[in-house]
Amino acid sequence: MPPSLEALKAELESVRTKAVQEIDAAKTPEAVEALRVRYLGKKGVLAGLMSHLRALPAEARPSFGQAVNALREALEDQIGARRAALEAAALEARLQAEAIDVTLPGEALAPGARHPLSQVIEAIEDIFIGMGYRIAEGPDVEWDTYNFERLNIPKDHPARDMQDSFYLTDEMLLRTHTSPVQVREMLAMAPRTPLKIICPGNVYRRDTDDATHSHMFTQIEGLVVGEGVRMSDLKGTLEQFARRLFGEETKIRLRPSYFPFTEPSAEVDVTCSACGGTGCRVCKWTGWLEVLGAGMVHPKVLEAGGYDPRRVSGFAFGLGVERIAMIKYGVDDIRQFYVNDARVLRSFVAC
Amino acid sequence: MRVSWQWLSEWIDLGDMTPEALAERLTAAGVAVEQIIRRGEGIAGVLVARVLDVRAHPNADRLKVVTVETAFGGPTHTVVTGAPDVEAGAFYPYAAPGARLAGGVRIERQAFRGVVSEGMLCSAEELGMEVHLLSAEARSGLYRLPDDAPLGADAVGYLGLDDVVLELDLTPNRADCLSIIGVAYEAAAILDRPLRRAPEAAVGAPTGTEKAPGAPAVGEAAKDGGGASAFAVTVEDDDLCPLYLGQIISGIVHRPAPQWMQNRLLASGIRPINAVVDVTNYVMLEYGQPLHAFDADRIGTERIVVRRAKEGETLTTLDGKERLLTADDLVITDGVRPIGLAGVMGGEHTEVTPETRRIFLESAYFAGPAIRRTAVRFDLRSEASRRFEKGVDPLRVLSALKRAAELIAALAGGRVEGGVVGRQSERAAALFAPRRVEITRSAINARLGTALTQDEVLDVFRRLGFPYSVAVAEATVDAESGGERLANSEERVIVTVPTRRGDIAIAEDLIEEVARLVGYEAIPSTAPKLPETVGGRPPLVGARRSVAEHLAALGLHEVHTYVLVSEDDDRRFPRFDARTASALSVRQPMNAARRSLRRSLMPGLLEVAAYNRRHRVDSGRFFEIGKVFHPVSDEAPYGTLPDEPLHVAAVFYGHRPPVVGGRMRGGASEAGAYDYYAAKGVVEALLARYGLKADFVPAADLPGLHPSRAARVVLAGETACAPSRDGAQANGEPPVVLGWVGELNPSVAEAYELTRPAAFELSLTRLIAHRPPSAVYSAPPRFPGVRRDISFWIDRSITHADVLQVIRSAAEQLTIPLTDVVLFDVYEGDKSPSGKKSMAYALTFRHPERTLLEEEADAATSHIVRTLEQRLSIALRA
Repeated sequence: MPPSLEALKAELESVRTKAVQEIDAAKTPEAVEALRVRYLGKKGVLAGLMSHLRALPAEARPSFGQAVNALREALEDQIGARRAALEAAALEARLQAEAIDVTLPGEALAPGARHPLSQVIEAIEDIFIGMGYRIAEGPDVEWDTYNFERLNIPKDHPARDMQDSFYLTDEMLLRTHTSPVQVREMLAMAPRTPLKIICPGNVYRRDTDDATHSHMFTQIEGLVVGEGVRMSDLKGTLEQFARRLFGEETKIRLRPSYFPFTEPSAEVDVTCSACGGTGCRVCKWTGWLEVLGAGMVHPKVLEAGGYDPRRVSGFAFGLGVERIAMIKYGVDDIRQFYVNDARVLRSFVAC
Repeated sequence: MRVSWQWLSEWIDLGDMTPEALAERLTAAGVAVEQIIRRGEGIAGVLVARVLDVRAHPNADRLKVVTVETAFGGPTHTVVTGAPDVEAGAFYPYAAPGARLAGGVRIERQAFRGVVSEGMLCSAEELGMEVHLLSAEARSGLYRLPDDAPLGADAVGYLGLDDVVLELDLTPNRADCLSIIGVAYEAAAILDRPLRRAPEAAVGAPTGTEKAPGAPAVGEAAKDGGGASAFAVTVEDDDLCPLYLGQIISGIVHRPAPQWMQNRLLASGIRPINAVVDVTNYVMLEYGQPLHAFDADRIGTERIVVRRAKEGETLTTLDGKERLLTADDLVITDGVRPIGLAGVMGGEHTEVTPETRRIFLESAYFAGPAIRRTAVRFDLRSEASRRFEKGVDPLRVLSALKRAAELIAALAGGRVEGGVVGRQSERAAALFAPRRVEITRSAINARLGTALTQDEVLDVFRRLGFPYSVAVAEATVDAESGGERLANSEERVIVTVPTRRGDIAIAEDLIEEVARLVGYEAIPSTAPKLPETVGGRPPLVGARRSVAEHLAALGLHEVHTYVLVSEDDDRRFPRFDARTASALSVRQPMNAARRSLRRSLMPGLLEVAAYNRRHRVDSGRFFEIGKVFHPVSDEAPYGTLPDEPLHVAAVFYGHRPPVVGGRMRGGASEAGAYDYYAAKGVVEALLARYGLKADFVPAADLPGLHPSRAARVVLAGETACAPSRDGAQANGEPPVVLGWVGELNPSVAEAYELTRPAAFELSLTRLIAHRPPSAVYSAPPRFPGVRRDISFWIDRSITHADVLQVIRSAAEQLTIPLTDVVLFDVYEGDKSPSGKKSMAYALTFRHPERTLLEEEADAATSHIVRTLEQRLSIALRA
């Protein structure tokens, strides 16, 4: 006897109830898949129900067919949702299991530090390169004539006392300043102008090393030669430089001084970067820090460099890198720069 | 130079000024005042007192009870003193109750063992005097005052303790300010006020004057002194001594200089000795002209001959030292033997002593450079030599002599015998001749960037006391540069520079005088009006920076170390780029550790490593970029300037940074010690950065390095062909050695207390010279490569480089390109057959124009394996 439509519909309902319960209860994606095969597979429960279709009266067929298909769709949706939920839960569980201590240190790629002197040298170079200066270098071992005589410091000149020297022979020495580079560059360039150079390098003086003296230190020298170069240009240039190195608020002050290779000569002070000029321990309560020596190139030096002092003029300036670094970083002993304590250097990783 | 305020005030009226205000003005004008010293700061209530009697203290052996008075026959005071030498009738500084002494000590009435002391008698130290300048006698006990001291007077005033001293930090050009008169001229110019008196006024009627320069009539003076007592003076070297004057003074009485003179000497930092010597020093301080007094009776010949010393001649100077002289030294002689080192120090034999009754007082002009040479060679930088070497005022040679003679006569009981004797060479005339320097207002403004008026300029010369005249240039017609001529036709200022300002010789010197007296703050700030220039750095400077950044990014700290190292340290390490064997050293090192110019960066780097290791920094990686110094020739190492190649070097010690929890991730949990490969890895990274390929050639001959863990880094040629063991290239060119890498020889490491550090040193100069001009673009491969791995046992003595060479030469016979050979494993341990190690390589074949067939790759691999079997006896692993 063929099943009645009612009986088939009742069975359909019981299948629905059971399937819904079983899918809900499925704990793994595999169990969900097994249910899909059981209910929705080619030989599954719904396919079995569908096989009764042909036994139904023609007018009952569409209604039953629709009911089975509706159930199929409902179960497909439910299975899909259940699978997604289980997969999400599984992923979540896996991610939980993979938890690490994110506060443990990373693999050590600790960057090294650039030496503070290098950092200061390069900062100063960059400022002047931006102003159109070229970096020029010269030898550390120099002839007396370049280090002194062509800089208007003849032998037996009292100004030689300003710089006690390490001589190798009567005529050869470790340069006492970077000024000989000026001479070499002028000789290479003259009579062409303008000459605008910055000369960094090691210099050497026969001093006993202590907190403020070092037998070797670093100087940066600047030289400009051209037509109509004025002392006001020197002042303006150094003002620009001081503002860029020490901050926009920095002011400078020139005081008369003496260097054999410049005339007029000046000591250049900048407002104390520690207190801003109001006076503190760093500036010995003066509000000013002496950082540069400068002046208009002496005509004899221009001449020794191959220029005609009636046609061109120039200015020159020099600074001690250690002094700047001591001010900038608050270092109170110049020897620190040559000790290279790793615990100190580490603090210069951040530049 | 220490300048007494009271002394300076004798020359210029400073009544309206504070020392601070003057100091500021002087400093702003270029005569820097380093310090203002108030001599007896805080001392008050001290009187000149006389001790009437001295009694023993009733209750204390070491104390004395004295009675003092501060007015003849006036009230007396009882004072307890511990001074053993206190003398009845003598004068002492007496601090009455309420007085204040040095260090803020306040004196009150006080009982000492039952005796009430009404104040105390003072020592020099208690009065804040310059005790280091006093004789041991004057320093130790009470400070005894001269018997003519004014009883009851304020001792602060009597001892000049109310004086203020300006300590000048003079630049070498301002020799004129090495005298009170010179500073007075400077202050007069700055403050625009006159001197109280012209310097010549002090000596009555000198023959030379400051204002109207002209040669002093020494000849005339010498004529005056034609008497029997006159010494004959001969000068044999006019160049070194153009002017030499002397004066005989007889009847000298040995006594101290008066207190006021001693006060000024003390304020000036000069030790009081006796009246004669003190006068010479006093006049030197005031005039800037050094003087010397010889004991004339010890000059038996009654002659003075000034000449160069003879080689090998000796002279015992005042300090008791025997000096071996050379022909470069100027000496004062008695015609036979040297009796003084001219301008530097007198001789011991003719020193003024308590027995001296007659002196020859010398005042001269000696040439600066010669005096300086002698003073430097003997390391005798006296007050006299300091002044001569910078240049004294020739016009004051005579006036200072006369002033000193007068003072000695007045203070040491002497009698001036006859006139001045001496010799003035013809060269001296040039010294006295006034210098005329020309300048224009526009030249000043053009150099300074100022807009000074003619009046402002002329006012500066007036204040300086420089006579000047103004002239209009001849407006000669010059067709070629008419415009320029017009500009030049402005008024020229012709300035006559007084001889006291020997530092002013050219127009620029006058420009500076104008600038410093109108004030540097009057100079505006401008930008140079020059054509545009492009700034930049030369390649080596750029490379130094980028290599440093690269190494820092790889975790190495940059260091700076000294160029001067010890000879021993310098010899220890490889000098791969030196053409010579010799080293350079400085002649007078500060110490043996800083003698030689480094030829390797290693000594400095190892010093840094050793320092850090000693300070418990357990491991470290440091690099330095710096010059080394190689003489160009061994025959004459000092004949030319040395080569100064730029090197980059690094040292590694201790352990690599550990990976915390590394084992959890399948890595090593223990960090290995830095070794050869750590250093080599950094070298390889650097070479890659500069597009360079190098071979690491085993080197057992590098000094200081482990003989079987070191290699030369040799630039690889363009051909992929590896060099032979000694690094020679196939084409016969000498190999370019870029440097070395290796572990340190344990015996050297021990000297630095380091456990086998690793290191490398490369020539950055060579690296940059050989770097390719730019990166070369390589397109991505269009066809896939085929990879074949091979793994085999091989004799453990055969190197990776040997295997590579065989693989590459085998690949040359193939029809398909071998594009990559990568070593991915080396194993040597329990499982390896004796004397063997296992190596594994990944070979990648790739054809540029088609996809390779698997069979082609297999055939190529077989060929390579066969070749390895034949040439290196490898045994393929399963």
